[in-house]
Amino acid sequence: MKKYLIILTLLIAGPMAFAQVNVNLVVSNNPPGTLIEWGTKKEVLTYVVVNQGQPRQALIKTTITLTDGTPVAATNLSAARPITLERGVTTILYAIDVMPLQTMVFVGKFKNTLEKTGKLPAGTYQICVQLVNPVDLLPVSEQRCRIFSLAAFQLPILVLPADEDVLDMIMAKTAITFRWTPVTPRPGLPVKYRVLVFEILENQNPLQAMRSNKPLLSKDVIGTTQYIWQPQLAFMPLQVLDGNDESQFQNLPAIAGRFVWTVQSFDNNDVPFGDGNINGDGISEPYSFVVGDKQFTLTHRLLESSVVDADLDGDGNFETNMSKELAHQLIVDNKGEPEEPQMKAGVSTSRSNIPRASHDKNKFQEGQDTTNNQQKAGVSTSRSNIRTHINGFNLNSDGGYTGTGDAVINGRVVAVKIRYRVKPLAIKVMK
Amino acid sequence: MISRATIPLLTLILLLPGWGRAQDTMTKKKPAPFSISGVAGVTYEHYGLNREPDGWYGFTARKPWNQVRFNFSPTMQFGKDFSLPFNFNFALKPVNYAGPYSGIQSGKQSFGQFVTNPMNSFGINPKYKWAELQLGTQYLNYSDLSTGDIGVFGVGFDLHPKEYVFKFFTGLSQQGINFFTGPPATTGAYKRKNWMFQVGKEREGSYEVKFNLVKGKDDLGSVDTIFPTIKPQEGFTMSVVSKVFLGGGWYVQGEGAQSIYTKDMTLPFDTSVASFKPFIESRTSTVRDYAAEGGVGRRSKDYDIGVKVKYIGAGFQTPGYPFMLPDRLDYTLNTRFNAWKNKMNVVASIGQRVNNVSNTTLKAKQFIGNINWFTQFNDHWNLNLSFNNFGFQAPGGINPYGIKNVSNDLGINPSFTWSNDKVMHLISVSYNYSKYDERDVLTGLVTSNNTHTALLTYVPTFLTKDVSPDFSVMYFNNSMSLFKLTLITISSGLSMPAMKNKMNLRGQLQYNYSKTNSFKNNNNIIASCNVDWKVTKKFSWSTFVSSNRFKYGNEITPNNANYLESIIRTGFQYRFGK
Repeated sequence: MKKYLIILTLLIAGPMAFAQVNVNLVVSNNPPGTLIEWGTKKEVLTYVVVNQGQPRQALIKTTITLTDGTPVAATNLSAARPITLERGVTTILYAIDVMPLQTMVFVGKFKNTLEKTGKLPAGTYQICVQLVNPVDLLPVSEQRCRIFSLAAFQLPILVLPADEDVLDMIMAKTAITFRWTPVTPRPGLPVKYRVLVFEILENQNPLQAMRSNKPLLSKDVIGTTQYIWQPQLAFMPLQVLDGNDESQFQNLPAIAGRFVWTVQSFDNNDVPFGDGNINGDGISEPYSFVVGDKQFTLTHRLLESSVVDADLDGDGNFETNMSKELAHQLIVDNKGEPEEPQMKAGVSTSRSNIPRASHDKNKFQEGQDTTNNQQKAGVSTSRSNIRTHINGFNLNSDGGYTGTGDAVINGRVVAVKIRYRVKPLAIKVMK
Repeated sequence: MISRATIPLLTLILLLPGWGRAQDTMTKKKPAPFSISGVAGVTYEHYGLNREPDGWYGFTARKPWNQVRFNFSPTMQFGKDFSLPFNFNFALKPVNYAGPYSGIQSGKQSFGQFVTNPMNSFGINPKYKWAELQLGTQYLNYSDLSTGDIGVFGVGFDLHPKEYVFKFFTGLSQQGINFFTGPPATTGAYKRKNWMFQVGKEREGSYEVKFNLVKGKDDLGSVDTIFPTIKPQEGFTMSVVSKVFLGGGWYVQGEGAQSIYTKDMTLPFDTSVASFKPFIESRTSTVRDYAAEGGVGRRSKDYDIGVKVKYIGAGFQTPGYPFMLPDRLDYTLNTRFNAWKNKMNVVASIGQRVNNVSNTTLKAKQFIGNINWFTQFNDHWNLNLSFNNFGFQAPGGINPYGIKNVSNDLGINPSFTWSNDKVMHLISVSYNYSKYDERDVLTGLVTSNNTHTALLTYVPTFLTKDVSPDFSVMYFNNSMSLFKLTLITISSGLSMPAMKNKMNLRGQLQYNYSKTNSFKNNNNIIASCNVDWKVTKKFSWSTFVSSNRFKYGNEITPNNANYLESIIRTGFQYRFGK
């Protein structure tokens, strides 16, 4: 009989208790994939509690399952902190209260994924919330359940111009086409992409330029992943021949500008997509590109070459001011062998591609010997054409270069320094 | 107050010019006791923008109105073993755009913010033999997965005793900045301190093995107010990187890394997530993931080939690369070869990138392939062919259709050169066709975006004169459903020396015609001039003036709106040393 009385009491008191605590649960259909962000965005989850009975304490019991019932997570009630429900007071709770990560216990693969990524696997989930008594864990409110879908968005990946690409200076004067991948998976509402282009100033690296400079382009694009930019910039080669050090020489391929570009993505509320990156600002991984000489390389016409120093006695030191003495003798071919005087008369051109190092290791091979292109690029003067075993160049202050190498002089191989006086030219060279 | 320790240094600096002159007289056979190289300079840039009619702001300023930039980067060499390079680059006016510094207005930044502002660098790296002290702003690249592109202001060292490597650096990568409603608004940022450490062994051209530790941690008490979405973070990454050079140009390289990253330091510690004490203690917002990359290949004079694979886990985050895109797998095959007595050069690559690797249902695939084929047939003719293909596909998810974007780009570029005793002519023609298809995920309809580009260039090179002109005409047409854009550009440039080759003059004039759909065309004229004057052997003065006038047709309101944009940049540069 006593047992029946208890059951009867529960049957009556239970609904009465539920009736005294009214609850409502609102969950965004597509909340952020990163669960930590649920706590910073109140619109993700709202749980409204109205207690019309006596003041009491309660625990929030939250369970997350897949729609097929597979358990994902549940509140560890022994670690949960009770909330106080005052009589007649409406209490509004958010995700940080309803499912604090420190008291949620995730299971199986969901736990592993969460620990690795901070996200749950993409899919459709159900969240159920109920208030329970802190002592006996009996329910004190109805359970409210809502369905939501998780799709971990990934920010756009830049496509064109590719990272460290070299754009043709002449074409870039008219238009530069930017392409990127869309935010994936595609959200229900249109995404606004802001295309940003920054100039990389001298002594800056790409990321530094992006964090420092005012953008040359800030253009919002909706509904497509391409933008054609008319730069309206006077692209002119930055480098001039009479540079001051070897580093300038290495940049000689007529760079007209260095730029870094990126895309910043916004949702339909103009809020940056923060789900896909560390900074939460919706900025994709930036790419840099160079506007330069893809069409024509600023190279040089050799006006004159002459030996300035030579180690005639083989003691390791160069004897100075040798050009006057040796100019008429120094006629060698590319292998350092003596060349017949009449051969140089047959050289028809007066240009020379000075070996260059590239700013772009992906486009040009480091150390690639462009002197191969010089085999017919002779010398217009009647002095010499020593270009053999060139080891390195240093800019001279008078607008030329000094190369070091070996030459055959008077039938003997000696170390020499050769001065080239050159003039900038626009000549197509092998890429 | 000047400390005793700084007096010798100041004395040294004061005496440097005299030493610099003295060393000129030294013979080349003896190492100079002191030498100096490098440059110092200052550049002023003025930007002007006039818009018509009054009240129209359809075009906004692209540069700061006035800016002064300084560069002081001499390298002092004391004897054979000790060098003292400076790298000071800074600007007077902060114009930061991305990141929390964007809220700083001119004159409002504190000294600490000025010094650590990414637009300024103040670095000194004294080096004695194999030991280098790193002071001030440093952009240190330890490896691809640990730290590389973030600037840190602090102190550290770089030691290379024999084949060993020891590196350490610590400092600030970010000052604390309060939330500011603007304009311009900034969300604010916590002060972030970074540490990085590397130990390893390497032999140039043979092998290297290095172990890296990188850490970044925000200072919770460094700001008074901050936007609610900005959370204090703490990250720790460790990696092992190795490279081996084998015989015959073969090489193998690889790096494996693990990151532990706390996204919100205000949340409590969590013992259920493994920590890595004393470097980092896990909280409920801590994630731990892996990344790896590897490559094998061969380099030679005429032939290169290489395979690269890179995996970044979905939760991999390192303080050293704040914009690194996670959750991806890339693999590429690159090759280059020369043939036909080096007159033919081919560069090609093919690869695939898989995004959202962690989500099997939303995995997106991106295919990239390109080839560039250059052939020099003879002294007169050469031809460059290029083809690029890019494809991106992702499942539809909640949408009826998946994402599918495909682009194909073809380029053909022959050029012809001929010459006589006085002039060398060069004519180049270039044609590019680009097709970019985007599928609408709701309707499944594919939008084709087609672009045709044609370019004709003529460059006469006068062998007996100093004038170097060039001429080009370009046609650009982009069309897609209900949209058509036509651009025509005519440009010419001229360069010549003056003042007995002490001055270099360059000028350029460019006209752009643009027309969208049936709207009246827009007109644009750009004129620019560059003067480089070598005043003395060591002192040069460069000036750049540019003017850009753009007049709209009737595609925007008000009709015939126009603007005049002008840039004047002038700067002096002094070269140290010989």
